[in-house]
Amino acid sequence: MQVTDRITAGDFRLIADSAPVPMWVTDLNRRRSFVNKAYVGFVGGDYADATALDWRTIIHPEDAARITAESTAGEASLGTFTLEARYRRADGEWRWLQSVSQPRWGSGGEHDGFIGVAHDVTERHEAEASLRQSAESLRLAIEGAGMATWEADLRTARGRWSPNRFDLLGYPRTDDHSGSVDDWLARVHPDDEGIARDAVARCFGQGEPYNIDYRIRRPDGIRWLQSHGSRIDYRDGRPSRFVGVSFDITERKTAEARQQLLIDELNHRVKNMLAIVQGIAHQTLKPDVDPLAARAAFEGRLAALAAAHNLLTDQHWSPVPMRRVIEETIAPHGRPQAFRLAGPDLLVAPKTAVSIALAIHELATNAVKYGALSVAQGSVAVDWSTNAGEGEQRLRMEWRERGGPSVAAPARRGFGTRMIERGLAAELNGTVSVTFAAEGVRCVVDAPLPAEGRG
Amino acid sequence: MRQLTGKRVLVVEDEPIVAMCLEDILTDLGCEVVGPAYSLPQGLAQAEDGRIDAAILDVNLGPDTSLALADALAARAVPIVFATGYGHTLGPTAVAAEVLSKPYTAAEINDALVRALQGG
Repeated sequence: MQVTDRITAGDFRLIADSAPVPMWVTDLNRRRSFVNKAYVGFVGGDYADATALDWRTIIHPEDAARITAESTAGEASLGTFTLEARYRRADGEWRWLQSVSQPRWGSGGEHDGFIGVAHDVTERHEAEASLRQSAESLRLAIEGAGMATWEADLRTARGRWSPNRFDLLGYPRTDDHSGSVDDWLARVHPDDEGIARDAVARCFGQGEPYNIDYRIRRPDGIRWLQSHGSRIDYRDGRPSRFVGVSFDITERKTAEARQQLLIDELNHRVKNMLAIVQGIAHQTLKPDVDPLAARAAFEGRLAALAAAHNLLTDQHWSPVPMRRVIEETIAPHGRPQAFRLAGPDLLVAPKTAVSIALAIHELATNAVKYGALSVAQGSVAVDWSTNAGEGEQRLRMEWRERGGPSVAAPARRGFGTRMIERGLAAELNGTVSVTFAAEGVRCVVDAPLPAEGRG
Repeated sequence: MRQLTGKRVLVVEDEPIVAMCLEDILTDLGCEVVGPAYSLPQGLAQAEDGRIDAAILDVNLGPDTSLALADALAARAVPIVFATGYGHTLGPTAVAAEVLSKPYTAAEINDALVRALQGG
């Protein structure tokens, strides 16, 4: 088969019309002297309409100015030039076209115009836009979660930081987003620097990903951060990169420390309570006491202790009203109408409340067994007062029984009396005296008013 | 059990019932109780006067701790037994001392005091 060195105009038209992409030939006066079928199909109308159409009328307004300038420059260069812009197709849809134009030369070497070919690159543009959008969404999601990101070249240990990474580390943001591993290390707290350096060295050297908690020193104070870093290696010979995320975990660390403190405090209170229970057991379960009576006394004392603690728990271990301490303690003993309580509103510290409750319990127990509450007509008056405005603030409290059987002083002072006189006195740093007067038991407390009770 | 007879032991404990219990235990062991003191100021005052052979100190005394008192006693070479509700951790103190975890038994107190007195 023989191929001639010149193809005919008919052959050229056949070739051009069978091409799936728009093609055109322009004269020096920019008039289209030829367009192919794909070109006609894109702009619409018939062949004559297509050649007569000025392409500036179908270019997207946002691209018009740029393309006019670029095509003028391209034509003037007398070389091949490429343009990329949106054009309105015959069906009204905007399509991205990439056109490549190259100059035509006449047989005498003179410039005759240009030949152009256009490719529809809309899909590539859409894919790029979609990628940009998902990258943006990802960035928003990561930053919204309070995470700051970095990526660095393994050779220079320098790269790009997300804007919020500058904020996280307390640096001013820079226009080029450039940050280095050293910039980061300069912020790491000296006590945690070993952890940080070790993690990065192993990541750079062995490619080991890491996840570390550490402190940083920022101009506004110390913060706890968590960082996840890893090395990315490429098969195509590109240099490895060091990437990762960091976020602030100060609040979590603070909460953990607070929780530990609460656990320690609870542990302390439990141990202390066990020591008190042990003390009560030791004082109550003596060899010379009848076991059944001892057990009843022990249970009563534990119940008083439990009631006092219920009250404290209700009040979240803050100071409690004196009246409530007394009311709750006497509730299990005798008839409520046998008691008369009188005194001002006064708050007592939690620990003091427990001591007062235990003392009142002992007095009430004794009154029910031997004293005023052992008979129907007996009664107990509990009064308390403060000497407001008269120098040192003092608390005076009195328990006075009336209408009971004639009282005889006991042969020896038991735990109850001892606890009242010594325990409460020690707690209040004052004096407490129990008198076994014939007309009824009397207990008088005189103590400096605890700070919590002062106005 | 009679190694402690006649020993004067300072008791500092801010919980009166626990202090009473400790007093009884020490009395049973043959000790003479100095105190009890219920606060740091009371404890410091008790430590000032008289002869003390050993001290049992509650670590937490209301708003204070007994560490300052421990330092003062250590300076006088008085053996110390700490009693604490915080398990066996004491926090920073330069004082070498026995540590008892609350609640404690009479035997534990006896052993701790004997060790403290030997160590001193």
